[in-house]
Amino acid sequence: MNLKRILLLLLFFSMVSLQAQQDLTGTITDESGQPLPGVNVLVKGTATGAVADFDGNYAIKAPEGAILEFSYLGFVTKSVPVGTATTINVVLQEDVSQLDEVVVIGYGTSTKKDLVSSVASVKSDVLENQPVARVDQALQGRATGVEVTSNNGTPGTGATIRIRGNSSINGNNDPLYVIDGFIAGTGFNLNTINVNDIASIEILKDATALSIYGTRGASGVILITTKNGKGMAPGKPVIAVNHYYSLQETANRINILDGQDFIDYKNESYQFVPGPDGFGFTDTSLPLVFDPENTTTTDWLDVVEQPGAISNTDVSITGNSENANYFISGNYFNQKGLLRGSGLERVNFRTNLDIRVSDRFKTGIRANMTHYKIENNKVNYGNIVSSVLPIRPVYLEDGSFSFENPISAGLERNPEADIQHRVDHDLVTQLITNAYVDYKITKNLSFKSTFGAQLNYVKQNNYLPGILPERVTGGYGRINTNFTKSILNENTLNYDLDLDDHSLKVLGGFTWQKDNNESTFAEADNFPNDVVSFNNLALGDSETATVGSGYGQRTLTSFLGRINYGYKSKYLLTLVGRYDGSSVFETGNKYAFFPSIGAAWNVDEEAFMVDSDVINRFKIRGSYGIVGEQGVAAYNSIATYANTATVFNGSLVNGVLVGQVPSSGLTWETTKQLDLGLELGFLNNRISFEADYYKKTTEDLLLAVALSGQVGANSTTQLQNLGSVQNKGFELGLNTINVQNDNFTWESNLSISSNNSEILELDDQEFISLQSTGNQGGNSARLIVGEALPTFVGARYLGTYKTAEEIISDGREGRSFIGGPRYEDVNGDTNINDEDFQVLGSPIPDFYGGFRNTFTYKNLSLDVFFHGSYGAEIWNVRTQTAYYGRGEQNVDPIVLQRWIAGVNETSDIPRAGPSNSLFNVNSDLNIEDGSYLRLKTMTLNYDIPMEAKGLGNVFSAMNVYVTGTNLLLFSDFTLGDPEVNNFTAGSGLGSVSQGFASGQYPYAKTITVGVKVEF
Amino acid sequence: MKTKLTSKFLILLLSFLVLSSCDKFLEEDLRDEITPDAFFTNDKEAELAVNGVYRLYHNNNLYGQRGLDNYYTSGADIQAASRNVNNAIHNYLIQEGTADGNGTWIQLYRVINNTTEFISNIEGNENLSEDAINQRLGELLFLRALAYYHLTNLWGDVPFYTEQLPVPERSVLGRSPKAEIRSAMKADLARAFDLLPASYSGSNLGRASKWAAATLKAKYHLFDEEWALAKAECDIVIDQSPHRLLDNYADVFDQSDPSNQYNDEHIFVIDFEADLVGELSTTRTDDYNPRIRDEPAGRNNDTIVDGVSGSKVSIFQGLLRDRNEDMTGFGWSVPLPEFALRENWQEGDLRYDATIVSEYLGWKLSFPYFRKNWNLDQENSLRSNHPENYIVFRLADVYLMAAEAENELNGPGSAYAYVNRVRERAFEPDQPWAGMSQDQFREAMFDERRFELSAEGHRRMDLIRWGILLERVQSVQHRAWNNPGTNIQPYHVLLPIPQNQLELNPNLLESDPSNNGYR
Repeated sequence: MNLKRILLLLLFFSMVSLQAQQDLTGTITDESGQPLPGVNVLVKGTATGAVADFDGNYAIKAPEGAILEFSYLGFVTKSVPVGTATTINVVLQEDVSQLDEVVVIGYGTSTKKDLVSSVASVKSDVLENQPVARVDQALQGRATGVEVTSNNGTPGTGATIRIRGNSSINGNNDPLYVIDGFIAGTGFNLNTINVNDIASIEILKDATALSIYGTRGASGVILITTKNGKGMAPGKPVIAVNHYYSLQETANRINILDGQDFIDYKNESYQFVPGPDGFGFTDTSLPLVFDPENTTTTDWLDVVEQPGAISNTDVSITGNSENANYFISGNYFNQKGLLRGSGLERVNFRTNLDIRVSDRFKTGIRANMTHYKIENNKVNYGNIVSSVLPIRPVYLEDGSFSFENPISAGLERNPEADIQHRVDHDLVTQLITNAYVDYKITKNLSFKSTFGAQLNYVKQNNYLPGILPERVTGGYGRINTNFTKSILNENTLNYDLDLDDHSLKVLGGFTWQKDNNESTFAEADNFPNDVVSFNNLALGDSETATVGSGYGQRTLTSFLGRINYGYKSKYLLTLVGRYDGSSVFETGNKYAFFPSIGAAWNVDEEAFMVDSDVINRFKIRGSYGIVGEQGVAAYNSIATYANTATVFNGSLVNGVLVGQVPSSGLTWETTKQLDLGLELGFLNNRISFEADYYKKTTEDLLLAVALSGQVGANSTTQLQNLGSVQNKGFELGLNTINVQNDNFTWESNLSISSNNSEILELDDQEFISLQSTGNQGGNSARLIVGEALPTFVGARYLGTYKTAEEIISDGREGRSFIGGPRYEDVNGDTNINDEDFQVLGSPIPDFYGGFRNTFTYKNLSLDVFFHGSYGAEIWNVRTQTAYYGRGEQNVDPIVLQRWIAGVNETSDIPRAGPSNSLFNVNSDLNIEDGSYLRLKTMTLNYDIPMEAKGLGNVFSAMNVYVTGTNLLLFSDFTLGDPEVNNFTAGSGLGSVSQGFASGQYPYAKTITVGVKVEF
Repeated sequence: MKTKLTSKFLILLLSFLVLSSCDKFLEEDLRDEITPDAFFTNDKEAELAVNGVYRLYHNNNLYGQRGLDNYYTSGADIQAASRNVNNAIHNYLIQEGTADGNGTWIQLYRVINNTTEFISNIEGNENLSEDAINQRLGELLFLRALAYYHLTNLWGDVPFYTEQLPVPERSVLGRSPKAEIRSAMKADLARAFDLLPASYSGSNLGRASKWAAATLKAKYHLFDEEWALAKAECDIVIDQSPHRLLDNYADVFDQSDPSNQYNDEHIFVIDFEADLVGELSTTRTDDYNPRIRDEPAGRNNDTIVDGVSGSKVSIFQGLLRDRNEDMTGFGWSVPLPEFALRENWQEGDLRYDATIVSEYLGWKLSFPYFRKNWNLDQENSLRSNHPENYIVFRLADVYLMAAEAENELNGPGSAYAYVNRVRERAFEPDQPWAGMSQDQFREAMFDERRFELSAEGHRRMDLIRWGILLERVQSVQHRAWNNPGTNIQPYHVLLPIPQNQLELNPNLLESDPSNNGYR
């Protein structure tokens, strides 16, 4: 479309010139510079034509101002106006829709047709112009087998991505990010990539695709490829300016209890006594703790929330000349968060450059520089929801900030004061660059060497000023800095051989990578005033000042190889292997080999099907292989002494203690994966379908095995290779063009994925505890052999006790009360504890997916995208603490439905009563259905016809768009948004502990208006 | 052709270069941590190691919060919570998995592992001066003996090691007889006594002195009813140490000035300090401090004071704040009704007012509190950030131990002198003991230790060693929400080996499948 406009623009300018026949010649090549023989050249509107010769050269006569049309099967037809030049060289672009999509894979590319492995590909059109700072948030529901769960709505906060489930427990479950060939690690900071710079994202899922990444591939790999000028019309560059503005408000706001309801509940709870018969009694003779006639209510959510906004501007220049193509862009992104005081401001510059030095020698660079500032949340949203009391005023009568909990009189932070005065932000600067040289040694053999670096500097500034009401000893300042450096050198040889029926591609390479980080922190307390803040920590009290620093390093060397063999494009075979050596393992265990094999059969190429009008694509593929995971911390096999401190006579002195228990003989986790795939295309791909089944078994799981207490270690666990876990699942993708005519097109795109995980073995342990939710309740998520990863456990809630007889029959006289909770006593010992815990559910959905519909009418298009998840369960941490929570915290509005003597005696919501460990046991009372369907985005786009508006001489293209995000949500979940988790990024048990909702930073409902202009 | 050859050569060269350095390239480069093989090379390093062990005792499972207090102070006849909290302890619902002391167990073995590792590295180390070796060994031996003291008090037989054993061996040790452990520790303490200095000053106050070692040894002997040995250790402390009884009972506990918390009566304390990260400040004081939610009595009733009308709580809190005070505690440790009543104390006992507070600034309180352990100061002693030291041993306890041992050994004759030294300052006018039988003296001591040492972490072990825990818990009056008398069993004198530990090391059930009577 855009190209056409450029041409029209050129045409417009050329109108003034005289019309006279000229001799025109030129060469026609494809994007890689190969000459294209047999291209048809036509002078538009006439019968004059020519055909390019074997070297792609053509000759034709045409008047100045005429238009030459170049057409060739499998390539996009191109029109070029005739100017004064007599030589017109043309680069034709492959027609992806007609031929085959090119898919980026590790260390290369492949056509979709030749691909043996399972790779999901997401193109820029679905990523662009979503009002998000990070691309992970835009990926949700777009690719099969990729489960994207937003963590919370904080600006700059990532989503958690799980590719085909969790395959590790203590190790890493985050995918590996590879940015334009640079292996950027699993913890890559996606805030540093401008979403609109991305050309495509490929997600590698099966063993054949992953084993080329060896020890880092087991959790999947995400390849991000940024734009370049390749395929552009040569000559005039395209300057594009894109701007959007978004307005945001809190979606699915959480309800909190108001002051009156809170006081009524608390007064009732304080009047609870066992009573004369011991079965529970509300003793109204006891004094009321709160005056029920005199309550104030503060809606703390109102205090801390604000409408959010995002402003985003991109400017890019894309160009292509004979020997070079380039993409240069700048981006400014500014988000005001939904919580006052939170936000993100970013500038980003990218330079992508490819140069053809000679026919044999190519070089180029990808460089991206980002600097951003995150204003962190000054208040904890979960605290506002569950902790800060509604009966507490924002300001005292004298106008100063309130500073204490009205129940405990303990000093407590004031959210309003925090928002106004607290300093807490991160400054992040990142440079990521990858340069290459590519030398064609012979016709079939080429050598490529890349050298890349990622430099990351983070500074975190914190200051709690003395003006904050709880800071009785003056201000407190802290700064942290962290500098990380990653250097990667990769050297590969490529051998390509195409004989008549046989094609062979061989890749071999050697790489090394070194990552290190250096950190420092300093803090000081008791600042006499708030003038200098964190900028001069020396003004704090020197006795309270502390400093620290750290260093970490890990290195990796690898040999890699891949052989692709094809016979007549019908039968495809791929062999892949990577031999990795890693510093984090002990000598003797440093190296491991990860091989895989894949094969595919393009049935549609067989004689019996090649002429079919109905089926145009029919491919069966399968792969099997081993991939590794090295998600262990560096230095885990080294015994250390850890530093600590103690006090003598009020002075702090340093000390040391025996540190970690070193691991012994640790090795990689290995994942064996089988993948079977089917790809079908009907009616010239108007209907295309892709399905995958996979089974992954991960062995030698890294487990933090608990050590008995008598070992006396500072860490209570030691890493060992034990246990195994299995993930099985299917993925379905269906694309249909439902209507296609001159004016109107309707396309649908459905993706559905399902993953079932099961723990096969955990050493000798029955289960591993993951997470505790209550202050007294024990662990509520476990890893249990034979169950999903992870699994909720707790007591089975049976409702409230309605009669004394029920209590007596349960043997719980004096310990349970009428109107109080009743749990199933599995072992009949009358105690309700861990031993009565049962499996109650899992936060893993049965299936999830996305459904996209695109409607195009002339220049108008509408894109509607739904995302949903079915069958996950959520642990509502807030209701768990609501019933018998700490007396100093707020409770959930569900208590309004509580059992009340003589008023609501049929209720199964427990009565107001004392905090009690018996009451606070983990139970399914707190488990809710987390299924949801969300209208994730809806975009209306209008391509303004420039010529028709008479603007063709100024702009080559212009479109305006309106996008709504998170517009509708269908869900039964009671605590705000059901898309919750509390994954902790990286490794450790946190990476599988998920599905706990405690009221996180809310998600936004967003309306975005944007305009994109090309010159 | 030339370029072709050159590039091929370059590839080869590059590969060889990288390959040859591969093993070196993959070596771990640890720069920011100390490893054991490069430590204990000078006196300062030995000191650092010992300092680390003191840190362990600050942990909330030991002296920091209510870790040890749960088993030494609560569950007896003096105190409980002001409401239905911590009820596994206050109601004797202790069982495997419930209040079984798992955290305390783990923390005590941390002390044992660290002291054992450090002792073996310091003993005979030629890089260290003789003075340093003596000083540090003395401290480590004391600190380890203190850990085994608690372990054997709480669980009886426990896993025992004093040598560095490899992790796989250490983790499967079964229980060793209590007597064996305690006799080894008594020997260690005798050695520590010889090695340790007699006093400290300045920034070393808080380290274990030889008197601390002697007092701990006296306790070991007393608990084992080795009366003569107990008495001998007490006499050493009383006669030779610079420690003395303060003239005024209340002064012993006065820690209101955070920079001056030590006094001559303290033999060994765990030193806490406010505003320090981690566990170096204490929350124990919060258990003794009231919650404003409970106070004062009739708090929501309106009243008029000096022409200002309002609810009692708002006026009372205003008065507190004028004094830079507030009631911001937890109220988890308040005196039981009997103990709080003045008439249950001997007439003229000055310790009552220093111990119990039931009225403050002229306002009646809903609950009585321990004045000796509370601190309402909102400048130096904030909620969850208190600087008060935990007084582990003090001289009055040593006098009372000496009196008890002497009475058991020879009858009351020479024992009066010891107990009356303590009673001298407790009464005005003096009410010395005299004319008692040995039994009368013994029983009087049951009460004397209660009034002198309440809420200091002695009571429950005293009742256990006297064999009267059950009887006292069942006979004392508890508040409405607690009824431990019906739940307490004879086996409750020990804790069960924690469930968590049994799961990790089944050998702990070998010597006693009943797990101290809990199965």
